[in-house]
Amino acid sequence: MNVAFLSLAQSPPLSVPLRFFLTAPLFGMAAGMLLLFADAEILSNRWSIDTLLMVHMITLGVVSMVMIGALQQLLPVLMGVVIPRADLVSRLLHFLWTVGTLLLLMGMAQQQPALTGSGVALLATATLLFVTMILYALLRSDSKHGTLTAIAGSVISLLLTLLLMLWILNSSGWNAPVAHPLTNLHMSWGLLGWFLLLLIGIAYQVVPMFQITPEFSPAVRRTLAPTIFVALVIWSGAEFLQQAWLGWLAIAGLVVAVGLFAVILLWLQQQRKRRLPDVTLNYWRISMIAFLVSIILWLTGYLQEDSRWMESAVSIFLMGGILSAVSGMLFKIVPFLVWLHLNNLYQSEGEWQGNVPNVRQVIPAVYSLWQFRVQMVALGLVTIAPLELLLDQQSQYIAQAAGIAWIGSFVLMLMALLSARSKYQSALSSLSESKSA
Amino acid sequence: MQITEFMGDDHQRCDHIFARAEESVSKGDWSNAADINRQFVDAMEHHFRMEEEMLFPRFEEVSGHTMGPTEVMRHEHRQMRQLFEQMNRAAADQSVDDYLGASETLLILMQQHNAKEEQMLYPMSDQVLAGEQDELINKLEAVE
Repeated sequence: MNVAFLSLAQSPPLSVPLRFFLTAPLFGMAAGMLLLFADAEILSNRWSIDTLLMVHMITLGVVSMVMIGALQQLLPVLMGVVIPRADLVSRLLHFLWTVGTLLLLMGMAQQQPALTGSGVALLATATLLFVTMILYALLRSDSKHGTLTAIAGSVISLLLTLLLMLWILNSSGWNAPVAHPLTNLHMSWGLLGWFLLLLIGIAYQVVPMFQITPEFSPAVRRTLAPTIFVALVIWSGAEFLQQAWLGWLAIAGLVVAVGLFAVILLWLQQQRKRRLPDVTLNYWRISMIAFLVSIILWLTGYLQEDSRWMESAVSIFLMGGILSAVSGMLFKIVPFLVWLHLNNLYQSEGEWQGNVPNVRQVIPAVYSLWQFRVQMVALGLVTIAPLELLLDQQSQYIAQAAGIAWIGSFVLMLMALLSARSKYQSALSSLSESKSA
Repeated sequence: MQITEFMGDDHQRCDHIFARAEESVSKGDWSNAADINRQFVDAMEHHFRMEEEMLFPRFEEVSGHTMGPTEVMRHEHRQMRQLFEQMNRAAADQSVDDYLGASETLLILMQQHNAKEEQMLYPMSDQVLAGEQDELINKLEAVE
């Protein structure tokens, strides 16, 4: 039996997740800048270098960045496993991931195989380190919760996403191609495997916790994540074996599983006992609605054999489904971590009622509310942009407006996070003053 | 009945009172809010007593771990009691902001605490104390 799991030192230092959370909005702003200055077709044409760059700024720079940071924090709390040398590991991962992403983006933009290759080398090293660490920790966990399976599926999917990227680049002379026979698989393992499975695993725990809703039923927790993972495996097999019917089967499984997840989560939230206004709740709802909309758009495109609907589905899935839930979680996790670390420090100094700001003081509700509003405007503009193409009317204005809105939303997010950090630091310094006094 | 189920149900009972307390505070309905807040704190203190006076000592005795998980749980109980005090004070001052700030902080602390108990400590207790669960639950029910 593993009893070290609840040691007092189980929560890693605040800087472990925070350095990732503070970096993410910077990549988000860069994506907004690209949107602002690129050609109008960036939002409606998947097959351009600008689109490829923007997608990777969001997926690697924002979403993965936050998820890698958050998992290092959540694993000890939710799974009861301590990561040894947490601070060193976090610094190393952060360096590899940030520089790797920057090099890859530069390599893609300038079509420089050397830059692309070195970026990939750093990202691959980070991925191997991260995935090994997480899987090792999961193996040692006593938890039997469905979250464990979902997280395992998620990090294995990250590894497969990376391998597919290596395959794609290797067969294209290390120049990122805008289209490749394996692009769809690479994207599906990233979005549905690495991102969505992690989100599902986290949702099992945090949705009932924060809104006081009923739990996801054990049958759902046992089957949902494995279904998605197996469907992705089957889909990959179908692509390699060129078996269309097998692909159909997998796609049907994915559509049903993602749809069920969104519907169940919305239904549980309907039964929540906690009825107070809450930005995180809003974000989760938007996220689930975005998943449902993206399924409908994707199926429409699939049946009509019109890829534009499907591209639109992918962008709503990522910017609306994944990114909304990630933003919502940041506004919940960061204030609590600041409070928890300060509280532990004050207590270890023997001061029980120190100047510890509560979660509503760490990030005031008005910050998160405005950030939410601006991000929703940005999401709305990204969502309607491809419709222009369907109407055969392209205008530069929507992409530019979307660019400005995304920059604004990430600036507000960064400001909220920085203000949380400064509250932490000022409480720390007032503690050390009271000690020296 | 298993310890996990019995104690988990009691968490839920506390959660529901918590939601009612927050709701009446947010509406500024102080005549009810102060009363529901008291009910909530009483329910939590009762839950803590069941653990600190009965479950934890028995778990430590049988498993031999006195500085392990139960010590962390006690530490978190102390942190929660500190927030109860802030909530009581805010209820006495009728300050909506102070109350909801403290209660939302408590909500997260309490939920991650409960999750650790329900997913790890209680199942471990059921394992270690197999055979004497019924007797122990009777004793837990008798805790004032």
